[in-house]
Amino acid sequence: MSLGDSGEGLACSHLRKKGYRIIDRNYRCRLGEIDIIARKGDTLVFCEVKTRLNKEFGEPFEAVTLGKQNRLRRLAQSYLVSHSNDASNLRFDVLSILLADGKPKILHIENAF
Amino acid sequence: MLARIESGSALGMEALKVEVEVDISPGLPTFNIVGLPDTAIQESKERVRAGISNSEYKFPLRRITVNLAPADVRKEGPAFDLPIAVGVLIATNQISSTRVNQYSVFGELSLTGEVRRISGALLMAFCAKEGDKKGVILPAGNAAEAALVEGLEIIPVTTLREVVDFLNETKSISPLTGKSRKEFASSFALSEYEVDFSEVKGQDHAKRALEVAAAGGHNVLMIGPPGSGKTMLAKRMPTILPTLNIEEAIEVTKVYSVAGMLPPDTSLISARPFRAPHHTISNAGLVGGGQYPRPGEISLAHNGILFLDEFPEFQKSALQVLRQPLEDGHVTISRALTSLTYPAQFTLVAAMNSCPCGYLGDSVKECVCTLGKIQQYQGKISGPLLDRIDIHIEIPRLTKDELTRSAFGETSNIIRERVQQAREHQRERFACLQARTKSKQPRRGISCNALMRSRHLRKFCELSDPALRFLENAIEKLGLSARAYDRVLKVSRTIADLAGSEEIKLEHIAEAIQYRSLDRRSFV
Repeated sequence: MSLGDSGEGLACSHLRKKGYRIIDRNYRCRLGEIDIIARKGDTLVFCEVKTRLNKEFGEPFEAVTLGKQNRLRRLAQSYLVSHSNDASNLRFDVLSILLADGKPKILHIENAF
Repeated sequence: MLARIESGSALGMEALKVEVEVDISPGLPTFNIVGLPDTAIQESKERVRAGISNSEYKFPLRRITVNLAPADVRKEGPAFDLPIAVGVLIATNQISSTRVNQYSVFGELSLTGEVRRISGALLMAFCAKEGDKKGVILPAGNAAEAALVEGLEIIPVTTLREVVDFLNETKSISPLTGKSRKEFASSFALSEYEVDFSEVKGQDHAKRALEVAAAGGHNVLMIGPPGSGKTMLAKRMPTILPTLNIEEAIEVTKVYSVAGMLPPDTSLISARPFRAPHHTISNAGLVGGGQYPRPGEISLAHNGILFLDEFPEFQKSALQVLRQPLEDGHVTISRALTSLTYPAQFTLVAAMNSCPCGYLGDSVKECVCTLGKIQQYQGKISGPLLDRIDIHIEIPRLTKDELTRSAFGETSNIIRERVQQAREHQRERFACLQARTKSKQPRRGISCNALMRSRHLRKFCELSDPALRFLENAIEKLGLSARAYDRVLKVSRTIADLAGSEEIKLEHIAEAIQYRSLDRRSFV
């Protein structure tokens, strides 16, 4: 299993623990991929998961650049067009996971952008 | 978390109080500055980020929003670096916010966290005083000038670390207290000059004319062949000018503070400025300009002397833009972004040759210019411009006897004392005016004879019957214009003041008429 996949697994269990319902994982279309789509109450949450083994190149969440943010926005639009749902709010979250010393450190940034 | 720091921005000769609000909220790391910031402020993000981390504080990896209120005025300059950095540190609880409310903060940051000198600190210190702040935290390089603001506590800082320690009350910085005007006035020393009027041989006529000009604040035009001493005379003009009073000195210092031209560790410019721009100067360089208009040479010469050597060599438009400030004593520069007014109450001293080759009318060398060339050259000095110059003097070549003569003339100090006394007479005379006009619009009081308007002329320049007859006669015979009439009156008022006479006598009028040589004849 790759680093990204294990990070996404950790992120899912973290979200479930916090009361989110996972709706979709690795939603793909020709624009790219959304790691996790979750839901809590009437809020739909699009999650980007970033996993790193060390902080040599900065915090994992620092890798979510403006370009990636814009891509996620477009992806979310395409998801909403193709999937009907009754959520009234939507939100973009970033889950930044550091796997240093085998013990995962998860930082959940709500409403990241 | 939110932090609010008070800072300021210089807008012309006024300072604008600016609230720097820093909000830090969860989210991906971004750093936004809103509130119409210009490029230097946008770049301050990088300086603040590096300054904070290089001072070994933590730069938050969160969403940082900085607002510069009021949001509708464009702000410029790097002076917001320090308040933004302090705001970020307060919003992340690295500084306690208890003390910062009492101070106004400004300064530029370097990447190492050092605090650098800014321009316009004097204006911002005045602004902080008006805003009832206890003191200002500013770069150490600006401390001396801010000390002009009476009763203001001045905290000079050199690094961001010092600011943090001071605000956390872990380290005390001994504050400078703004001194009172009286203390400054008493520390006013007579400026030392390297030149002296006694070094100029001969040219007694010109020296006398410059003395009159200095006494009344009159503009002067000197005409003569090369090497006759025009430049030498002009360079010595500051040595006979009356000393600045404290209000004037503060105005001059403000202009230099805005221009960022205040020498380090200088709190007050006590010598009258002498500016001698080269004749290739652009219009904007002369009157001020730029996207955010900066003061030009005429404002830097405020309350002092603007010396324009080789007067006709200046661009024609540059000479024409001088006309309005010469009349008004200030200049309003309007650009797309803003419109600012700077003071420009200067005495113009101009020097020129009488023709392109320089020898027209010379006693020794013959002029080789064609008539057309001469007319073109002299035509550059337009009538309206000439009208604004009270005193015209011809500086002839020195004769061999005068050159070799070893006797020296009067020293600058002796001349200056007479000038000072004449100014004293003028101040007493115009004191009543100032008191009356104060309640009306912010019109400037009159400090010297050159600033008199025609209604003042009627009031202060009454002539005795023989003097009036003489003047009428002269106007008729010499063909003086109506404008020249006013100029003669003003100059004769100054000559009478120099002589300590309340009444303008015939001899005063006679001398004043001599200083209108360009009205009496065309050059050619």
